[in-house]
Amino acid sequence: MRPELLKGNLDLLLLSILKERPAHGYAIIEELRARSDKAFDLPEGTVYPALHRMERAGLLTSHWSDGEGRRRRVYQVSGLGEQALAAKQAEWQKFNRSVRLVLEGS
Amino acid sequence: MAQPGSINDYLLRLSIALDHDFPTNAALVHRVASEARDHLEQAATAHRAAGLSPADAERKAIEQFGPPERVAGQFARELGGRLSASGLLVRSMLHAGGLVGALFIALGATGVLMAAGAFAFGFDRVTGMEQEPITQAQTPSDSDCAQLAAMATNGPDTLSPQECERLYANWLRGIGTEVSFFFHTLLTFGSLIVLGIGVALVWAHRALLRWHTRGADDCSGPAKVHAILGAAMFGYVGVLVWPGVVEAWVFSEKTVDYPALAGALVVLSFFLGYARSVRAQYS
Repeated sequence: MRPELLKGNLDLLLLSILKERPAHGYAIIEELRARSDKAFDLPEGTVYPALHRMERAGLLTSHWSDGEGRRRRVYQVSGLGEQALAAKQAEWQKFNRSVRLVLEGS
Repeated sequence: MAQPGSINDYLLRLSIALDHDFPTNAALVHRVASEARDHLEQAATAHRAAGLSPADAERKAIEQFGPPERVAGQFARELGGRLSASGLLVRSMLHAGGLVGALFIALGATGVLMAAGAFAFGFDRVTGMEQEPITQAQTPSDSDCAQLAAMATNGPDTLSPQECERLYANWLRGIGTEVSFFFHTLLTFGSLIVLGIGVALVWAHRALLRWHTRGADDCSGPAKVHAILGAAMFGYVGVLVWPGVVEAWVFSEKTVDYPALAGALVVLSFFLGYARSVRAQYS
């Protein structure tokens, strides 16, 4: 799938993954790839800028975690992020329904 | 030295690309490099477990991460990237304010030390005085003027009556100083202390960087540049500029070397940037 198709929806996907449990960048990308049946196979480095932007916007928080001999930045959804996720999910469902109605009517 | 195509080489290129887009945000560059290192090492481990050779595993991990310029460009787009010209100007002005404050603190601290030294040693008990001590009369004598001229190391050989009276008045107020041996000793040792602190900080910085990056300190090229600049700046300020400026200020106000002072301000601004960079590196 072309990466630009994800534009506008990446925040929703990242929030959705992180809502279940805090995770570091590599795990987030692996989860994104696995859940989408490898459809969302982004250049991995481009996910980090989105994570940083969302953290700046207050949707995520992060902290360093030491374990398994590695120092990792672990992200988790903030209260504001949970609100944003709910709003984006509702928006997506509405959009999805509308697209389906259009396609089924054609 | 990082091998071309290795993770270390990639991180170096990524740091340089990020430093280009975020020249005043060393903390971000460091954090992204750390996250990328963790990601690439974990990905390479997974590829090795899948049967790839170590070199191929690193190459594949890097390929999947994306070109460093692209990643840095994405950061610039997402986070705003380079500061605008006005932003840089404001930041420079803040730096200038900080360095002027630091200069005043340095000058003030010197004055306090000098006053303490004069109090401890006594004005009239200093060595190296080839002429009679200054009389502390209401008006300066000829020998007083000669003595003041001799002390004004950046000033003329002889003083005009007006200049002599001005310096004499300063001296009576305790600003001018006859404790030349003490003053020079203080400045010399003070300069060495400043230089020593600088060298120690640079070495500590490098050691911390090595420890923090597990020996691969080449992931932070900009930090090395900062370290070298820092050493040069401490040396310049500590040995050349600071004593000259303080000496000129204390002994003869009119002989302040303004170009040197301007140079010191520029150098100090770099020093502040260096200090900020080091702080951000480990925050």
